[in-house]
Amino acid sequence: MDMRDRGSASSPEVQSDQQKDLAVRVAGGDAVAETELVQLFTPRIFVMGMVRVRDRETVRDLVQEVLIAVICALRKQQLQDPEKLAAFVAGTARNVINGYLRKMTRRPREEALPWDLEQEVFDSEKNETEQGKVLELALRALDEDDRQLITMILAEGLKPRQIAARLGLSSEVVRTRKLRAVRKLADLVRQMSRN
Amino acid sequence: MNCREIDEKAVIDRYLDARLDETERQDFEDHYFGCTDCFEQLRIARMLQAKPERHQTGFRTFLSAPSRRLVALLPAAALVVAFLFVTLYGNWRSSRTVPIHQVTDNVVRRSPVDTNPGAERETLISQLARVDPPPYVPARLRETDDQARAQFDRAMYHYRRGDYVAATQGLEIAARLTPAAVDVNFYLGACYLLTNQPEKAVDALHKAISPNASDFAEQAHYYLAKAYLQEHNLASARTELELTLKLHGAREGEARKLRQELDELQ
Repeated sequence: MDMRDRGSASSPEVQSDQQKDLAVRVAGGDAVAETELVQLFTPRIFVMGMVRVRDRETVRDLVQEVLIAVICALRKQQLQDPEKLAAFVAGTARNVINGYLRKMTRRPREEALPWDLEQEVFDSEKNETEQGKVLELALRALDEDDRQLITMILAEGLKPRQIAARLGLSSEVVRTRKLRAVRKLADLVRQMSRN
Repeated sequence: MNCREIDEKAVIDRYLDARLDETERQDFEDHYFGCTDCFEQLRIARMLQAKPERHQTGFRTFLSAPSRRLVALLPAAALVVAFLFVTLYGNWRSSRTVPIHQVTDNVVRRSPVDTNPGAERETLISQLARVDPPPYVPARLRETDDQARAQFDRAMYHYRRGDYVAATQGLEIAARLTPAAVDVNFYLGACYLLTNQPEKAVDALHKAISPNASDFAEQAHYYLAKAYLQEHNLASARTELELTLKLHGAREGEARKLRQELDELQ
């Protein structure tokens, strides 16, 4: 089951049965499942690290540390409730990052991810950088209304009701239009990154 | 926390600005680890906020807010002050400072604590054996399909980050795929040196010496000298320095200085 992010997916949630399936497959030693897990969570761990630590070099190391801890725990079947895999990864990431912040030292990793998984992390980071570059192009390709909405919410931090008042719309309409615009933008970024 | 709350409370914006309390922050993190839409929004918001100068609408709005206009000038003012300080302070110091290598040399050579001549000699050799990582600039602009080259690129990604253990692992694989590749062997040798494995460094660096790649050959001889110094094999180190000097390359000055220091030691 491919659990990679799909902006246009019908359901935005990573469903609990999908999480369970992934956790069970990793626990069973499925290498493809490990790759899926790395692809799914690397960008999330990276963003969490950047928000909390704000040092790209350190965050790169921490991402790997988190993934090693998660995969090892899953292999040892230490996850009690496989349906809560996402929360487990988030919790592990927080623990590793907070542990780092308490010590404030960069220590060499004692273990390394297997090479193929490390390549996934590498690709994911590369994508992150490249996507930043294509975002500007993707924004230009959006409708003026969508672009304005995204800018107001995501770049300027306005709340839907503030925008609603400004545009004479209801908050609900603003929310729906924003969600549609974000999905469109995310799809555009993905398409442009591929080309 | 759900998607609606996240919108209504402008959680994404506050999260990126570190304005959430720890409970809200954890709730939001738990949410976006399992929610594709919210994570997409977070990712886009992060990219947009990282590049305000690239985004015309946002930047215009930013400048149009009077209370923020002054804030916008602060980084520029800070830069001017910093520039003036560095320039003035640099001029003042230039006539007074001693180059850092002279300071460290003096500390090592004239340490009053170390009165044992044998130990002092060991310390000096260790000092001479220290290495800086040879610089690496990726030569290829295009992606490569070649498995060994791709492996080399991945390893050098770690090398550039200063993770020499991971770089060593990758370069070992690349060396198995292309045993005769000069650059692979050279950087593998450098990594061994940087991770205190001089014996392996000697093997790899010897493989990096090829008449067809004189730049690497000169560098390889120089780093071989360093490897022998790590092994306290002064005679071989001196031989490698002589070979470095014969090639009249970029390391000539450093090799000459190192040979002189070695002579003084012997």
